[in-house]
Amino acid sequence: MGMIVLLIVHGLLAVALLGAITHQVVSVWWPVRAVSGGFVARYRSTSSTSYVTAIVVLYLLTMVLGAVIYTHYTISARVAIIQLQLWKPYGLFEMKEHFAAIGFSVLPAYWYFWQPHVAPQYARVRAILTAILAFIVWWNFLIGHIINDIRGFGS
Amino acid sequence: MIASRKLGVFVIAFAIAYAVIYVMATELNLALFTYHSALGEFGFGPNKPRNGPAMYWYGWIATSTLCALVIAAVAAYLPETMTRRLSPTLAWVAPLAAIVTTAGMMVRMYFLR
Repeated sequence: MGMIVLLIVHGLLAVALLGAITHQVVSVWWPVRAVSGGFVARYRSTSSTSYVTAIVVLYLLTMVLGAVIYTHYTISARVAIIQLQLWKPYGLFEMKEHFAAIGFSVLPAYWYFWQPHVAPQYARVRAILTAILAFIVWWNFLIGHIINDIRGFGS
Repeated sequence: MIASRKLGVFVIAFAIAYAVIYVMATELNLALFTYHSALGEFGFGPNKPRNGPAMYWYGWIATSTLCALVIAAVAAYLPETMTRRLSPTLAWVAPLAAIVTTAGMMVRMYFLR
């Protein structure tokens, strides 16, 4: 029961992180030139800088909770996945594990290059670091769902 | 300004060192510790499984973080003449290369078997 609560909280944090990083990456890679009243234009015209600390904190919280749940995964779901020889989903989850760990290493640079005192010439570095984090967050979110729902496939 | 430069060198060096060490740690199993999830026990270094799966992931992260922290701290205090060539581009190239490398390893192990 405790692990289910943790899994739900982990999922909710991941949703918040997904929303924040997607908002930021869209505003960085597809900025608005002139503000108009449409939903998409307003989505793109958000202040990217204001998301940085929240994204770092959400990433760390989501990762720590995921790491706690991971202990339970290895003695429950993982065993079933191996017995069923579902090697592709297994491999996808292994990638999630590695990407989460690599994303952790990107956080200090991501945070630093978003600071206001950093020269504007590093805007491209900032944008790519944001895109890498967005990719990792999206990948881990989707693969987490696939693994969580695996017993629903074909049953 | 000096503090900012040192912090900049630190974060770039950390991203590079961590990415390289993490890939090495996964390939060579350089886990600082092992967690035996079925027993709820920790073991120092990479241990063989005991009555259940042995988890190395936490140990790989610990190894990479500690080593990268030391390397980044040393780099931050090096003279500016030595760190000038440490391009900020490497702060994303190294993690991206690590992502591609680990993904390739997983494809080879689980998709092409």
